[in-house]
Amino acid sequence: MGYYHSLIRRKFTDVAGTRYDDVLKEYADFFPAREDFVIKPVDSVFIPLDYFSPAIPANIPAIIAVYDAPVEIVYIIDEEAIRLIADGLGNDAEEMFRKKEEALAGGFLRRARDLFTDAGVAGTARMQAGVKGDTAIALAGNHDLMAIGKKFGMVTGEQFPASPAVFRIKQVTACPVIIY
Amino acid sequence: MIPVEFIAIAVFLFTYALIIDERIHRTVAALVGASIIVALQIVPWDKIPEYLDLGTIFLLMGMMIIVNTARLSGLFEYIAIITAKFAHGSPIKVLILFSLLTAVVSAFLDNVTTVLLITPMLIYLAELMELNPIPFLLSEIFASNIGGTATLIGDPPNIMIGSAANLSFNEFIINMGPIVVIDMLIVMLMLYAFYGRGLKVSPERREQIHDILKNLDEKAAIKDPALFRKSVIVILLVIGLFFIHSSIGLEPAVVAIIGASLILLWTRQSPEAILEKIEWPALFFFGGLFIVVGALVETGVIASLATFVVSNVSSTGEAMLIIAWFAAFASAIVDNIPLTATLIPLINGMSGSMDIYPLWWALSLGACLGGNGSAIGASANVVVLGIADRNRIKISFIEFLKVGMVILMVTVAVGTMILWVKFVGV
Repeated sequence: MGYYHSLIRRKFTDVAGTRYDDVLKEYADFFPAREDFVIKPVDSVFIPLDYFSPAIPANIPAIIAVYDAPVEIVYIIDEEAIRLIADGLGNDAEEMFRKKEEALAGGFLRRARDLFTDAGVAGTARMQAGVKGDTAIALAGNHDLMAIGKKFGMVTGEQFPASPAVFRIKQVTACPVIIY
Repeated sequence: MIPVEFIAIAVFLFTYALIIDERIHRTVAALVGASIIVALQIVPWDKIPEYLDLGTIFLLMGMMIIVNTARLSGLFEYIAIITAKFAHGSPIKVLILFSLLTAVVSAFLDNVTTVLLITPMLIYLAELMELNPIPFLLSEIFASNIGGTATLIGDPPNIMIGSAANLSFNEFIINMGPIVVIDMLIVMLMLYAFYGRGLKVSPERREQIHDILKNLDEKAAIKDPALFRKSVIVILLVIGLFFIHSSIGLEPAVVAIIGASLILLWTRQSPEAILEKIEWPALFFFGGLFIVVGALVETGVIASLATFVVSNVSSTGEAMLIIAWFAAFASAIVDNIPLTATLIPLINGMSGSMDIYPLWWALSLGACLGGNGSAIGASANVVVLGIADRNRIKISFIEFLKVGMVILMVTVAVGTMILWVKFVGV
């Protein structure tokens, strides 16, 4: 740093003191932050589904279509539920539960994929077993945007407009989240 | 034994050098200089009140109280947001409107506070427009220095000149107002000529900016509506009193102190909190300077200089030109406050030989507009450039000098021409 810049800094400190910091604090209350102006590109979108939020509203594909990015739809089968059924009711019951879940998931995934295909959005649809919240968070890490149903992970009521799992996912994931 | 004149000159030059370099806080430099002068009894203790210009110090103090109380209401942020909305995302409108706002506010409030409050908004707008912020920041500096020239309370040199020469608020408006209006118009045209080509945004981007600005809520800036209303009323009342102060026999400093007392009484703000915000270092800086310059008066150095100037200058017109141009170029090198403090007693010393009334306006013109000449010419420059530096916007000394010197030459030339026509004749 040259003499001129250090001179300006010295003079600024002597003349303005801490008043500039006070002014900045006052403006910060209503100025949008710098990062608010940066619109990050969205190259891929992730949509988790489960037993409690199996359907995607008709307007979501239209919103996602704006980004012109492919979607990955994943129906997450609750691994913990499978383990509990196997432990309590035996392997046959577990096998029956798994088949019913897969059949259910297949139907939901087909409908979801058709919705996006109709909206002109390319993408894939698959199912995966896992701990719902953790799996959703892990998969979201590979995408730029996430859309999730407010009932994901649990039923909701009037007192709880979104499930605790959705709140947690929103807090933890780095990408923006659309909650429908 | 060293004659006291030499000691006074040495202390004066030493203090000036410290102020220019600012490695030591300018207030400390002025106080050290004053302490040496008083300790060596170059200015006797009982003569100190004579040299301390209480008119200047109390006027500054009163205005600081009013501004710092009004600031708590969010008044100035409110005005900045309204102005930004008026610009509708047009870079030229931002440049013109904010320059006009800065000039008008600087004419009535101190320049440092004005630019401190407006610069963050300008940088924000330049970022939104994705444009180089330098033209906006330079125009703000020039507008602040030019606007401050218009009134008795606009710039510290004017406060000092008004107090020393007993000039009224209206005399400043009448003599300096027209010069400021013409200079502002010329500077706006010059800035457009310098930077106009680069100040363009696409219509789509302008729409986006307009939408963002539309969402800025100016009412959110008002932190205390009652304080906001009271501040506006007191500021308008004080400005009104300034216009009539000479007719009702009130000193400008008394008007400022009345306004300060009224705003504290009416708004019930904590006096501890407000008085803490007074820029005491600035006031002590003035006090120290007055003593250091007082030593030059006391020892007869200023009188000898005045005799020398008078013997080499044939007319008031010639003296006017010399003072205006000397003050302008010297202000670009030295801060205009110590420069004015030195030239005031010099002009007073010339009073027996010529009509010095026009010389006060020449000094005001040179000292205020000379601040535009270089990056360190005035406090407003330093503050804007310091804020720019903090935001990683680099404005080099030479880059400033190139534009600033042109602005200085043109505005001072126009000003001296008007003064010449007014006081000397065509």
